[in-house]
Amino acid sequence: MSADSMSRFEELVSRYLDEGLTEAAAAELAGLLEEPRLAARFLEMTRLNSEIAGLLSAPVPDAAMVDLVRPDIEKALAGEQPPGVRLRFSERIQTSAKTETNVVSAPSAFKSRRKALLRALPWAAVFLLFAGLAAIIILNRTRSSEAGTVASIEGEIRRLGSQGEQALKERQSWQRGETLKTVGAKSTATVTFSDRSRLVLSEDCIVRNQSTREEHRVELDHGALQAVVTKQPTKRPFLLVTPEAEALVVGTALRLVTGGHHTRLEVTEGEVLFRRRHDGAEVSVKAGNYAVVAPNVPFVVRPIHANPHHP
Amino acid sequence: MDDAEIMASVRTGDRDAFGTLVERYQRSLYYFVVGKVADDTEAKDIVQKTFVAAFQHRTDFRVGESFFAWLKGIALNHCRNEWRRYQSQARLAGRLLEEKRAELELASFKNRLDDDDRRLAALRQCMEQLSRHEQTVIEWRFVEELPLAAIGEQLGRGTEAARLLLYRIRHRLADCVKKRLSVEMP
Repeated sequence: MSADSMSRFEELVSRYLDEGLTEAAAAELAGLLEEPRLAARFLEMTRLNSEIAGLLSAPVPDAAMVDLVRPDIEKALAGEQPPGVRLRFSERIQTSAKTETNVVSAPSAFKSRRKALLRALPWAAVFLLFAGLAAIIILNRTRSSEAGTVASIEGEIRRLGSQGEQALKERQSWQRGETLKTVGAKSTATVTFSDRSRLVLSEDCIVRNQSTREEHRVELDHGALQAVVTKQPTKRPFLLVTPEAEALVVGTALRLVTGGHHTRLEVTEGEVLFRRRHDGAEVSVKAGNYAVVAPNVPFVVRPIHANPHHP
Repeated sequence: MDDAEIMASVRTGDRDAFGTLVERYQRSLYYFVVGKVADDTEAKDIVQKTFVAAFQHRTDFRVGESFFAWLKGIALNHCRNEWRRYQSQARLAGRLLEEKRAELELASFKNRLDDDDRRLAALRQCMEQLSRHEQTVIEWRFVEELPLAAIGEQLGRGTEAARLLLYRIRHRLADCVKKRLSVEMP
């Protein structure tokens, strides 16, 4: 093969890897691949490309992979059981309610007004007691819904708050206004919230809890996180915020990466409203898609597999 | 507990014990799968599928066998199936080049076992030897997935200059990996 042909082959491979080829150029390259030496070179370069991407991508944290695998295993196990064996919880409640309906006796219709009032007083006291307890519970829930709990830690995690900086242990809380840092290349942490939403922080991650009664708000200053967000009430959205972008999450699973003036959002389940902060432009990113906010990059939704190496 | 002891519990249906194995091997399995499929997202999916399949077929695991070797065998089958799917999709879409790539990948699968571990380790070392500037360009392309035009702009040069720079970096990496592997081989 001449030097010119070889140079043309290398150029086609390079264009294929970085910008895609026109149909004519793809046909030309496919023709050249009939030569075994060139086919081997093509395979070497495409493989190298996949390997570089794989090495540079953060692996899924261990705990997150366990969480991903477990539901599939549960489904598989459920499939192994014969159908009709299990009774759903809601069905159990209905069954027990039916049996208890006729037990309550009717009150007498002939009571004096005074007697009725006396009878009502203890009920009123009970009602007030329950109302007080409910108010306490609601207040506590509101406060605890702002805080997260560090469910698992790998490596070193530090918390910055009003009490200064300290190393964090499992089951400690992450209050409003506090910042978490995963220190070093092997540190990861999983944070859970009272609504069972979960964040998995990757290595070298800096993240701040700014939740209020009105909204869940987590600010990712640097690094990557994966989020599994349970269905949120419309009046209290879950917001993930980076220096460049905001992701409004209704109930979904996603991955968010930020650093070096860019933010990338990948959605694996559900749908996320992704907003570019400097101009307020928005895109809706559905499962299987991603979008990037970065200088000179079009703010559009793309399928996760939309690269030149995947059909 | 060692893998065999854990698998003895898993065979009786202990899911928590299996979680320990997932945590123990998922990263190693990811790096085993990387490069055997088209991209890293697919590699992560295959790791997940492999563990689910391993649990479903837990009774096939033989005592005395290496758990990770057994896992790699399952993962390799998933990778092969992924390329078959890729090939049939490319054929349906009339994408000649993608179909050809899948055909080449499938034909080379027989030789793809432990050799790839050394290859990936060599690539990692070669990437560390790149200059800071080259590493930044690689990050723009592979982590931030910037298009060539944006990389060209960041460099203060054009699209073509960015393509040529990436081509040269890949070329150097490929040569470096080859050299390292040939030095290691007796």
